[in-house]
Amino acid sequence: MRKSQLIPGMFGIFILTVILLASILAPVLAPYEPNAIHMAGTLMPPCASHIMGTDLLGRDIFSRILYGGRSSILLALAATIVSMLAGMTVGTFAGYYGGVFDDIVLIFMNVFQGLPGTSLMIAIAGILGPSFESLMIALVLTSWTGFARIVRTETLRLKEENFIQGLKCLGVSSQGIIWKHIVPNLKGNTMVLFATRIGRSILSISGLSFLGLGIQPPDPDWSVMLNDARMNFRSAPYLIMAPGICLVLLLLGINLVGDMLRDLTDNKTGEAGGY
Amino acid sequence: MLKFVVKRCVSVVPILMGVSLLAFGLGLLTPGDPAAMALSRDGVSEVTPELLEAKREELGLNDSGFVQYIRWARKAVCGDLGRSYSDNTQVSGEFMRRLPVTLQLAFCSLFLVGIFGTLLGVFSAAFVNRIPDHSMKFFTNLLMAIPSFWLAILLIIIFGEKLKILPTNGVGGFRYLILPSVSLASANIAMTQRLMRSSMLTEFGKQYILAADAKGIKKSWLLFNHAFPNALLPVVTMLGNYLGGILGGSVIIENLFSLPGIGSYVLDAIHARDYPVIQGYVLFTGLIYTVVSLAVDLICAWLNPKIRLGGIR
Amino acid sequence: MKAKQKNKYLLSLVIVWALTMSVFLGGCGKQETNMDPENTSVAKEAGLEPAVNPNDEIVLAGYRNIAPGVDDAYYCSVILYVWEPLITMDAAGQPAAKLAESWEVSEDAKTWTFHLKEGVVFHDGTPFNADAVLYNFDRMRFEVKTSGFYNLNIDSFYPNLDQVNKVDDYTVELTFTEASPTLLYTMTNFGSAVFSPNCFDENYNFTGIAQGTGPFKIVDNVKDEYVLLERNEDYWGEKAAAKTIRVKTIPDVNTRFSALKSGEIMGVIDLKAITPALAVELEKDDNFAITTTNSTMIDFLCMNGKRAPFDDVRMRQAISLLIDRSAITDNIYLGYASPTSNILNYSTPFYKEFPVEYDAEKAKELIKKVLGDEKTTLTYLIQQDNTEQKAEAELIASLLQGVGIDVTIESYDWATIKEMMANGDYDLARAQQGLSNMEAITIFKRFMYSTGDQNVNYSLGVNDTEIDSLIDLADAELDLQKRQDIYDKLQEISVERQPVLPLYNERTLMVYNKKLTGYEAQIYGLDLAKVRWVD
Repeated sequence: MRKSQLIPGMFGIFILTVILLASILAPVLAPYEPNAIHMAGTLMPPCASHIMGTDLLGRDIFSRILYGGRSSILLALAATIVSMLAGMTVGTFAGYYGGVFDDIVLIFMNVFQGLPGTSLMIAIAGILGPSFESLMIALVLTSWTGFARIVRTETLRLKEENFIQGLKCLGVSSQGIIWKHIVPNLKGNTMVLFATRIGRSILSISGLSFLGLGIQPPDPDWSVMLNDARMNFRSAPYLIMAPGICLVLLLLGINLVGDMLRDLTDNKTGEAGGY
Repeated sequence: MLKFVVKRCVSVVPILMGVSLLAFGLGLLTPGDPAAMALSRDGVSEVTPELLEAKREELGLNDSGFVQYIRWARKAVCGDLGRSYSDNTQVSGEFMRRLPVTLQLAFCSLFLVGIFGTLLGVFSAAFVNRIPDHSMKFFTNLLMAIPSFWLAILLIIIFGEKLKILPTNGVGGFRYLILPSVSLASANIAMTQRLMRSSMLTEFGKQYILAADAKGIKKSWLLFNHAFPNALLPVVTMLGNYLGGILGGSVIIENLFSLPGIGSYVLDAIHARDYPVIQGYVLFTGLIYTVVSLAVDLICAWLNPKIRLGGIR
Repeated sequence: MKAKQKNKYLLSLVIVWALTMSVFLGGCGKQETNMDPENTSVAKEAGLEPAVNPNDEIVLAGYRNIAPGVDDAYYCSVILYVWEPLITMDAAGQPAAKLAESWEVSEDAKTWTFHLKEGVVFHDGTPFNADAVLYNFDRMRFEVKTSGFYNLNIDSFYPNLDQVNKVDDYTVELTFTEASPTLLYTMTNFGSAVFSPNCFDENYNFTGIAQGTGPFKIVDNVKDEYVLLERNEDYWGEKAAAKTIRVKTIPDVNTRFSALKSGEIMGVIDLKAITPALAVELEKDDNFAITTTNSTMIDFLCMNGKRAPFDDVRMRQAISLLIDRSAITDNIYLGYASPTSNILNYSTPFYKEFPVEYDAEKAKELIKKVLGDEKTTLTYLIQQDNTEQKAEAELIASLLQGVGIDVTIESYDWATIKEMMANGDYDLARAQQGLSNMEAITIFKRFMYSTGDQNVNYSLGVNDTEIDSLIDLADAELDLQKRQDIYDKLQEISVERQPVLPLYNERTLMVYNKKLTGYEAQIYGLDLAKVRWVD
């Protein structure tokens, strides 16, 4: 692989680093309290004291932007990790032991993949009401199958490899084989899928938040800010530009890094589903 | 071929059953007593314990979950998804009334995805690992990073309000579908582009192309007459998958463009806690998605001589 | 060679990035430049305006199905001018003649006689007469018909009604078991709608398009899309100015805005026609004008008076003093709302003006007295998808936080909020109330009487023998001036004790394209019959 091919990935890492640092250091960097209301200075365009302007309630947009990625990123990370763990566990066991368990898992996977993910997510978030837990449930229910599927396929392939067969003959326990030899071999594929899934989760969360079904006010969040701005963005376009661009940059960063990981692992199974 | 068709059709049955179980299960998750909700909706009538008991009986809430499911499923098979809490209309009737709007939107988007995704994919493949390809890769990454609702807002501002060249709301012919379907399609175009590109590259690496190349057959001719049709197959398979994303995404887009489709219906239902509608929505979109995926698979199978002539994977 | 390629690649990256960014930034840059009127007029010329034909269809839009159809008690709103009432109201909110030309009331206010307009026919050709009016009373007596506007409930429009008699073909007499001196106020508009007897089935439900007597008739109605009106050429009064009007349903206010901007629709009507921010934005564009007037809607916060802390009147007073209402109306509603602390809406003739007090210091003292140093968390319910209510709630929450009270804002749809309020499962909730009629006592009874429906439904916990006896007294009072005195007293009590916390009186706010004329906001809707193209 040529070095030049790494440039977009590096650029992605750079974007992500900046966004993550900004989010982590928000309490230090933010010039104002993100929820501090200041009715004497509402809808101020960007100026020296408020470099991104203020919103309808006079809150400093820059401070809110700094805090605004936290909830989505954390939620997406948590949901994707849980999905990955669930998917990997189910996938390895199904693939390794096969039999009835595998059949049942397959049916479940088919059912969940037979449903349009976004529709299901909207329905779950809608029925359970907007909260952290219901978002988590919605995200995990719709994304564990992706992990389970590739892990299962990979385990099926590994199981037939000579070294595993050899280990079996040596009397190594199934548990030992799974944890010591199969799981480590799944790293590449899952890492790529993990990157794609994080991006997808953030997109889903932002869509739900935009509809009012996700993260709730007064938590500063980019999508919520976009939704809040829908009344005033025409006279104050900075209200939708800043959060929108942040969201795009975050997703772009994740995509670029995902691409790089895919190139590095020479992965062919990266899924290309729809949002 | 016949064996494949039958096998594929049979495989749909457990999926549909699972989907229906899931839709029904969501109904059980609902907070509150459905009978009380159905009664107190109009805001006029006083909910008495007797009325409540009668309504519970009417809705069959006193039976076991399994019995309820069987009854619900049997009705659903006959096209009866119950009545909406908020306006007491037949849920399935309302879905059918709104379905054409959503389908028009979905197929319009799929059309854009198919055309632009494949063309740009071929473009990238033709310039593989050169600047146009790299730029395209970055561009598709960007397209995938733009949330559809943000794109929709920008499109409404630019094409609807500033340039005043495209309508921004309601139904009324093809022009009305342009902005919403572009918003829905953009991310999927990017994904299709990638798939098409790699699929073309796979074709390039195959023996027959290498052989033809060695014979000195012109490259562009090769590209369009041999590689392109073959590379299209995996893309067509994925188009069915995209439909799922488009159906879900249409909830936001229909809301933004005021399209009276099933997406805006379910959003209203969520705001009104109209559970039969939400349940129906899950079942309905699941059904559409499954049927379309099945159709796409069968078409692909038919297009693929390997399967058509007997060899089943 | 390799280095060169790398440079080229970097360059291309930069170019692509710059291009894409310029597309986005260009989008917002354009916005600013386009704000000056010159540019927009250029766009207008480029749009090639054909000479306006006065018979061209006028397209308007509202947020809901303004003609919900056969399932609604009225089929469509009064503001479409399809059906007409016996009694309407004038610009001052006073009862005025419509299909009833004149009326008399007996000495004891128990018998009312209405003389009907002659020579009026319904759209379907049926003559309008006493029989038609009696049929509509039969319909009301049959059962309560639900509606998205105001439920058709004979007990709220005609309390204590005994008999409805036909005196002759054009005279109807109503008798009551109790004195009903303010009948005219309760029966305005929705209370005395008259439809052709031929448009109902045996259960008095609509069988098809409603047939009224108004200047417009409905020719087509597609749910969630539009309702198409056509001028009634046989109208008894001044005929409508426009030949056809199409009213579209566009639920999202931003989409209505875009549709106005792009010329797809010429105006917006109905409640919530447009938000103040968007109206002001449109006014910057030379093509649009705002029309506004007092509205019958009042917006207020309900407080759960059945549990601490709002069972204590001082706590309610404190919150009322703490909220700077004019900061809300000025910043969030841009002046298109007027602060009030009186529960009665300002468009009824019985309204009395009170100064709105704002005193944060006094509020803090009161809160201290009630809560001491105790920490408390309140639940504040707002309606989903309402940016203004959300901004308002965040503002109020931050004020409360300033005095040591934590607030959790929860948003639901209105039906859910009502349910939670009825169960007493809330502390603060944002609500609105329109005047179904101009008789002030309706509001006092609903919100302040110990058994009043809204008092019970919203768990307000008002239980005050003084208020109850005042309301009973007013009910029995035949003299309008004496009634007014009691109403003044009740309003004073509402300001002082805050059974609910009124925030502001709404203003009806509509925007229209200047290609139209005669577009004038009224207390309820606009006079659609006067709307026409500019010549």
